[in-house]
Amino acid sequence: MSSISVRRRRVYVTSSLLLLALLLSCRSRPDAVPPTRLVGAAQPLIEFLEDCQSISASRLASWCGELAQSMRACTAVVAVCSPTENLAEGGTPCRLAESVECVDRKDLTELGLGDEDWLFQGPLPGILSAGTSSAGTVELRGRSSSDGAIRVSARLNGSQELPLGRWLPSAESPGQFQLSDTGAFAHARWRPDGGLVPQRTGKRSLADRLYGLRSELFSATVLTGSVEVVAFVPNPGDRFPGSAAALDFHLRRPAIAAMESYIADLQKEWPLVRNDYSFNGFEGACLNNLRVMPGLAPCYLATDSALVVGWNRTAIEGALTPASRSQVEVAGGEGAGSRATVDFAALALADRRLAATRSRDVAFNYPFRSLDVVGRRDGSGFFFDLTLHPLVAP
Amino acid sequence: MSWQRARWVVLGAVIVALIWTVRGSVARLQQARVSGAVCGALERQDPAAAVEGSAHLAGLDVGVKDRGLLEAIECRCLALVASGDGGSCVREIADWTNRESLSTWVPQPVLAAAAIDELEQVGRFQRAVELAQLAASAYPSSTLFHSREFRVRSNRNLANPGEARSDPMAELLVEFEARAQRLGDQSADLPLLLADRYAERSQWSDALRVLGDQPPGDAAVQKEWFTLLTRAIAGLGDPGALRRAFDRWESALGGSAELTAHRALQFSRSNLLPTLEIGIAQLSAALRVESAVPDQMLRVAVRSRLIRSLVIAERFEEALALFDDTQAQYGLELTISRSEIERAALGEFSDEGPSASGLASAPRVAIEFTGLEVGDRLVLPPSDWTDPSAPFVELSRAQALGLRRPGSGPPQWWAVLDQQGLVVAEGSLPLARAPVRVDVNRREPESKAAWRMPAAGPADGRGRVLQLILDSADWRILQFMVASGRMPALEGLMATGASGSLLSEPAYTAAALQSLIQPGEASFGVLQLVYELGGEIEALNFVGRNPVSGLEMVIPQRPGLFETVGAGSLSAVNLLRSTGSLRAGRNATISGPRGGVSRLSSNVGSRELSLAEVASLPQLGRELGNFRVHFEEAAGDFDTVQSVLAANQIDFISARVAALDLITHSAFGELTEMGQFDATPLLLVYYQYLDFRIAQLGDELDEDDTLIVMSDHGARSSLEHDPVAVLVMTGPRVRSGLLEGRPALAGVSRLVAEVLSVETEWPDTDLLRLLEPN
Repeated sequence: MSSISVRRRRVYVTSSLLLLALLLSCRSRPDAVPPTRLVGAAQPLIEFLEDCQSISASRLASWCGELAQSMRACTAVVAVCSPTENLAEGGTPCRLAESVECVDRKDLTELGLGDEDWLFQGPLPGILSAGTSSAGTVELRGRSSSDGAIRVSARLNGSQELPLGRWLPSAESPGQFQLSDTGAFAHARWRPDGGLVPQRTGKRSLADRLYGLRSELFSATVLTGSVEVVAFVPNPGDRFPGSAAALDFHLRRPAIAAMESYIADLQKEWPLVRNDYSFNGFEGACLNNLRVMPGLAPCYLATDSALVVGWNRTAIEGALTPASRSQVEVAGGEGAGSRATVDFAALALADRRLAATRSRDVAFNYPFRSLDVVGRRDGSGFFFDLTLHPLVAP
Repeated sequence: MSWQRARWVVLGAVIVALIWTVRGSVARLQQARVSGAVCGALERQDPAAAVEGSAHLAGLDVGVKDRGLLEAIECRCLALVASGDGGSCVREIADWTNRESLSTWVPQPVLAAAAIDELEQVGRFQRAVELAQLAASAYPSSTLFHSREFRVRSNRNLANPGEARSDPMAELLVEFEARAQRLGDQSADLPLLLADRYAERSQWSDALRVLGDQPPGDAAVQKEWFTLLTRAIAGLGDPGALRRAFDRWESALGGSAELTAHRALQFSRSNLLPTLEIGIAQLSAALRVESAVPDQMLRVAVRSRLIRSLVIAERFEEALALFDDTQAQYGLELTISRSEIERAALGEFSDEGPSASGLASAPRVAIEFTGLEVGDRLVLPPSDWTDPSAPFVELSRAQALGLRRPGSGPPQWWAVLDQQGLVVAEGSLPLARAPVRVDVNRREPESKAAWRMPAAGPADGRGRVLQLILDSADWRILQFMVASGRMPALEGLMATGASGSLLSEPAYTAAALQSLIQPGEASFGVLQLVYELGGEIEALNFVGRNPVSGLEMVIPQRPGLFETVGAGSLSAVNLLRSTGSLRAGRNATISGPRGGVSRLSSNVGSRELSLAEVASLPQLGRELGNFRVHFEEAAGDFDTVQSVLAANQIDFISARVAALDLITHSAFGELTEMGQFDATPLLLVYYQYLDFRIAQLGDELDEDDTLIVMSDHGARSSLEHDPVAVLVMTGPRVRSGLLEGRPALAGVSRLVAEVLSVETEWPDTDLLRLLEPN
């Protein structure tokens, strides 16, 4: 290649990167769908995308596979694409795989990215924004570390309209883990940014009417707003995984009174039978004859700091059996933010057992050992720190 | 001509003209006198005098130019109405408009509308349509006539005269939809009629389109609009949208007990609630306020639905109490019988009940049939009735002596055939612990079924597959009908092909169809469970939409049955009548070849039973009442299949007769009533009609075609499905004989693919052994 063509190519790439940097610093028009951008080292990106592709035969997997294929000849990549029109007005999404261009790895340093880093920016993905016309954005910064883990910092902006938006973690610390997660595939503790139950006015929803969700139990005077959930691997033959939730309260006696009042409200709509129940020195009640879902015979117990509700006795007793607690490393200590962990080996076992009860095959393959997430509200958006641990240490 | 002669000619012409004018004037004066007398009496509020003074009109020869007499006719009609004899008014005005001399006369609008209705009522359909068209033209601003024309033409499938079409209803709908758009507010009720017709054809999106975004007219019309809107949305199977539609209804017309009832019924009927208990809670809430619901039929519908739901939930005492209360208050026959509830309460139909192990272990009682004549044959279930697909037995009069049969369990039907093999009596044995005596009362023999399954035509090189899914078809009923000689087509298929039972678990149409149309998607896990729970949260309008709908991105997607068959050189048509929660793909959609997607233009939907059909199956001429619509829907289903076969463009046809399930739930109760049936129960007549139409389909099949007649599940009662489904199959590669065991229904699609030589990895549930190697 002649020196002139090399110079031209460098000018072209530099211009592209400068333009990209300019675009990265621009705000999207509030009503338009923001462009999608991907830049970074190709090899770690390819490995990450191939892991994504291997999870299931899904649309996301196809997208990951196409993207990985498009960058195989590169050492570093830049990809920018914009939808033809506003998606909410019937425009078509862009195809990032067709926008991939190879660049030099050292060009990444101009964007503040290291040799193993990648950066993704774009509209909120379908998994979060489906059914909305939200103009929110997501930014992911990924890095592969020497221990084989993949660390991703994620920032969500403009997520207020999302169906799940109010459930994202607030800036306040949710407190320490209370429940045991031995035998669990997922465990999370957080303080929802929007509170536990929306403070709506107007008529009650069907769920409100049937489940009494407007009762005083769910007012801020009883509960602190922190919630902890643990989901257990189902026993063979169980059609649903057992689960338990802890709702922290301010004062124990009013919380118990509110719970009993809630149960009394439920009994007006459902043919429930309430039985006293105690476990490990904690008192509560179980509800039988609910017959809403298989295995659902909910119980609650009042601990010193929380109302613990379980799918059934097995679940609640598993959650309150003193054993291991999640050992999620939290930057700045346990009070720093909401956190969650997923054990993929246990999740795979849960998949197998659930599929077996329905005479079906398992659909998912998990290329990681576990996922740890720490998150909090950060100004107008939300920040998450995700760590995907490898199946086998290198 | 001389001047004098010309003068005489002119004078003569003038005299003739004068006479003619005077005569005309006299006639008009006479008419005016009659009109004045009749209409004057009416104006003086003396209708009796008006009626008496116009009695002679009927004998007159009246033409369109006799305006005075026509006025008198109208006044007479109005006088009759004022006298309380509106019926005579309507009959007379219809007769007048039917006269050839008055073929272009249009009475005043209200009378014209009444005449149209009467003409339709007495069967003068073409004249009713003509008058409606004339009236619409004469009174362009009136809203009375366009909808009447549509109603008569759509009820009678009257295409424009002289033109033959494959789907006249579809063309009628297109014509009137264009007309409704042109007329706008001038025909506000026409869109409602159109939407109702589209809904009957399961064309839910079309129904929504013609309804538009805004309800028209006054509160009464708006209520009708919302009723159709919610019905169409329920048909699309979107619980969130259905909830929002009811919320909108409430905002527009206010909350009411009637709305509560409609909401509970619609959600329950369309199976869009996550659990049965929620449906029961909603229906119970509607029942608590039923005294404020003016529509009695709506109140009864809520009660009927709640009774069924309570039985399915095994809350038998509550169901019986509500049943008895409903009978006491309304005295109406419900679609479920008390004996069905009693049987269900006894555990007859549960897996723990006697039927689980068949009737073999149930205590036996002596059965004595009296009134059997020489040469009679008695048809009964087999003594050891453990298998629903087991053939009924035929006993001679001698063999019927000393009969013992289980005194409990599922209904045991019996029939008496005379020497010609015709049914002269039939009924159901009672639940009993002591000896039973059945006194046979003979009735007029039914005529023998005049149809047979024809021999297949010569092979044409195009090996098609026709999969006919008879929703809820049950082996017990089929075997009873075959044994009593009333389903010769199916009998012929069973004799020449393969037959047996399929296992359909869970025994629900939605699950069965899913396993057929998504045969490769056999996966499940935590994420799929979370996604399903998100859908249920949406139905409870807690968050308004499925909060985890984005998981669709990660849940595996695999091409389904139709997409797979249509991916190559073959084509497939989906006639499964997807509706509500069934999600069986879009009805009347053609897949393929080479991945193309198009719409089938010849989808009939439903039609009236024809005179030829009644002649072939005289039972169809009975009063069918509320079940007529189910027969008409089946007629449309088979017509559609027949036209697709005749066109010979499509390789795989999968069609579902959905109405059989509806009539089973409505009419099975009649089969469980203990004792002799006064007439052949309508559900059995329906089975006969299906057999008749299957025989007609045989005329379109040739030697290299494969026919699969199956059900998605059986029916133990009007309340409960049976996981044992029907399979009868014929074709060039099919091994004839009985299918051993109960292979899972989910394997049928692999069987279809194998016959069509389409490579797949779909599960084979041991059904491929039905086929000879290719």
